[in-house]
Amino acid sequence: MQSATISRSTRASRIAAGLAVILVVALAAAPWWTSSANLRLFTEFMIYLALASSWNLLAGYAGLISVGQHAYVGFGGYLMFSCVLFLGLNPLYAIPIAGVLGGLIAIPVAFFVFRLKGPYFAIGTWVVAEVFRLSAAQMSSVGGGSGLSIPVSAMRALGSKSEREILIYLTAFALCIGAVVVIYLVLRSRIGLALTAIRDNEIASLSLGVPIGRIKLAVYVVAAAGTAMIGALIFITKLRISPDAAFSVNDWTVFVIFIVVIGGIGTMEGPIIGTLLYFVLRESLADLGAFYLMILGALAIVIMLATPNGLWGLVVKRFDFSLFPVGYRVRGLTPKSD
Amino acid sequence: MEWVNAIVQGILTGGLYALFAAGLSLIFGVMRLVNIAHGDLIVGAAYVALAVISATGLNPLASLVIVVPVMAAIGYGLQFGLLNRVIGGNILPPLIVTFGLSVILQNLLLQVFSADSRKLNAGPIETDSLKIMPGLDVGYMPLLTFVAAVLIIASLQFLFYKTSMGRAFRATSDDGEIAQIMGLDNRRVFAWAMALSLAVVAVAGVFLAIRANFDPFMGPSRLIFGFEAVIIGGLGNLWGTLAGGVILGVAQGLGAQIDPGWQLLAGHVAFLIILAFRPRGLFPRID
Amino acid sequence: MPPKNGDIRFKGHSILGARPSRVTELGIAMVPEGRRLFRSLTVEENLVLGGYVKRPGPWTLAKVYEVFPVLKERRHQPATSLSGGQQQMVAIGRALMSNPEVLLLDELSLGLAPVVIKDIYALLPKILGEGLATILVEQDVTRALSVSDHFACMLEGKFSLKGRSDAFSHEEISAAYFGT
Repeated sequence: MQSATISRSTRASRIAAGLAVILVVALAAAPWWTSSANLRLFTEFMIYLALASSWNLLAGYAGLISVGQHAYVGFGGYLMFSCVLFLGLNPLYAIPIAGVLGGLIAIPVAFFVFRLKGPYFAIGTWVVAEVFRLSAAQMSSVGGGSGLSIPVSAMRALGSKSEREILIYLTAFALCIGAVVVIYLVLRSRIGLALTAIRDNEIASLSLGVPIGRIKLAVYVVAAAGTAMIGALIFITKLRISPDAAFSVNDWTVFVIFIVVIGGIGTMEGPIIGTLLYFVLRESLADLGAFYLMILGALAIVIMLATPNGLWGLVVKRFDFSLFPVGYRVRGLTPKSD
Repeated sequence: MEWVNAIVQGILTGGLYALFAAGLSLIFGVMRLVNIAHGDLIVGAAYVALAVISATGLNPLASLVIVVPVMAAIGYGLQFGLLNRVIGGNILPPLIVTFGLSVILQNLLLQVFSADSRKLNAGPIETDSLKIMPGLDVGYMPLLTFVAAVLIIASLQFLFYKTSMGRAFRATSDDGEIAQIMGLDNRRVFAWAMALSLAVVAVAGVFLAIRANFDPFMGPSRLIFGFEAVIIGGLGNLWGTLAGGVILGVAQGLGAQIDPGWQLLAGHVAFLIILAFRPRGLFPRID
Repeated sequence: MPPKNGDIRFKGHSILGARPSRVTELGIAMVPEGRRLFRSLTVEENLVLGGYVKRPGPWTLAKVYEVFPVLKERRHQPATSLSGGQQQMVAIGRALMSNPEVLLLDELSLGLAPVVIKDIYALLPKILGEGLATILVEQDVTRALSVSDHFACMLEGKFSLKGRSDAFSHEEISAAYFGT
């Protein structure tokens, strides 16, 4: 009789968890130990990490490869502007509203795009984002094609400039941690198990009674809600919105996809690594202009050819290590040989 | 009369969309690949033509003699050297790789040719038109584009069903393993398919560049028009793709007739309506 | 599945891991299990594609049609619109078109009606008459023995019995076949 232990965590993941807690506490306290310029950079980092994590949930775990998530970023942005302009709301209060309505509008969108499979689904989501952009450009009450700026009075409601920056940073921090925690919980739940089953073998899981359609829809709606909330926050930081900026495929989809793919798609850690690398590259190569984007594109291609699980996949392969234990590990069992 | 005119011009524009779509349809049929860089390659072909014309002084239409083989060679190399490595199995790698290519191509064009919009000058043919009746003029250039689309689709149809190359395409698409046992080399069959796709892309790019201004970033929307035409017409049906392009063109024309801002929106809405009621397109291939 | 060791050699060439087209060029053709005809190709196109590797020999389109006249009648129909037996004929014809020296027949009777199986087997001697070495993998033992010179039984990856087709009784073979 052999004995085996099954666990989620490993010693390494427990040490990492300890370090992660310290890092999270330090980041929560960032407004009190870093400069205002750094705080803005950190805010942007949190925004990209949250976007990357939601796209990763969608594409990496549910196999829904969308290239149209900028639809929800722009939707959230315009919704926030509408709340401020027409309801006189505090911009930050518009964030949860953007989440709810972003999730709701994702349902009719899914009705259309879920009819397309695989790569066609991808381009279908892009068409939807185009529809969103063109519709926004038609609405003259929110500035039409040229866009508009947020009223100064609305921003004053958030306090002085430095108070505002702290408030926005803490919101970004909360959204980002929230996104990571929600995704972690989803993956450890029955839905996570079902997603793994679907990823391994869609037909077999269907015959076992996994409601694939409903699970994919649920993931799509959750990702849309999260992305819309981040979108609302993004345009609070930008103070100005226009259809081209709100529905920018480069800013909100291309970079996000490259971040996840380079970091490691289908892993919790991938988006973190990818976002870090993205900011390092951006800060060091931004002067190169167009070349910088070409390098990013080439990097994504090379990663896909050489190590489809991204940089984090390389780490896992080498060290058998995981920061976020979402799977189970069996220890002490040796293969039967007779 | 304005409405009749809008419909006629829409049909003719549909020919251009069918040209965008035919190459996309072709490679999906042979190897189930969706090339996200397709639109950027169309724009790339327009710039290749621009370079050829400025070097030789050829008329844009005559420049096709050079642009078509150049693009076909690029297609063969691209497929053989890069895309063959990510084909088959998981759908993510080909999507990401062609997505990466799209970004690289846009920025390469930006770097080499700047962001200024350009246009190819084909001479008087651009402005001359055929007076059909009062209030309905048909430009020679839109007409020529439509005729080119019909000819190209007819030749692709012929190539697919009447030649040994087409036989190889269909056999590889049906059952790649057995086709290899019969002596076909998948990698080369795919490379020829991509070469053919980019030969069509070359024609699409030159016609696009004669009819409108172009810049390095207009590729993605050409991809979307082509994609919509393919889905409206029904996957794997080349004549369906032409019909899809025409429907898209007419929808845009009618939208523009109502309000210029609705031109593109009307095309997308037509696509979504067809997707809702006929998810497999209007003329799906029967098998 | 790549093998752990060993080699497969044919006419002095190692064909282990060789490209499938190379194996066909050397003179081995296969009729795969389940026929696997090209569904968007006509009968004639399937046959022509079988001759893609141009090896010299007796088999031509005309010769295939001579052996299977029904295929000539239906040559412009899609291959998969034919009956199971006729599809099997297309699969055999397609393999013969490469003029092989060795023909591999995999599960010839799978999914076919008994009457059709009988017809196909009746045609085999006519096809194999021209000095064509054939390896037939078949569950229908009696029929396989009736057309073959030598046989081999395999059980869990190992030979359990082999010899001349007429040298063993049916009982001995089925014992080796089922491992009893």
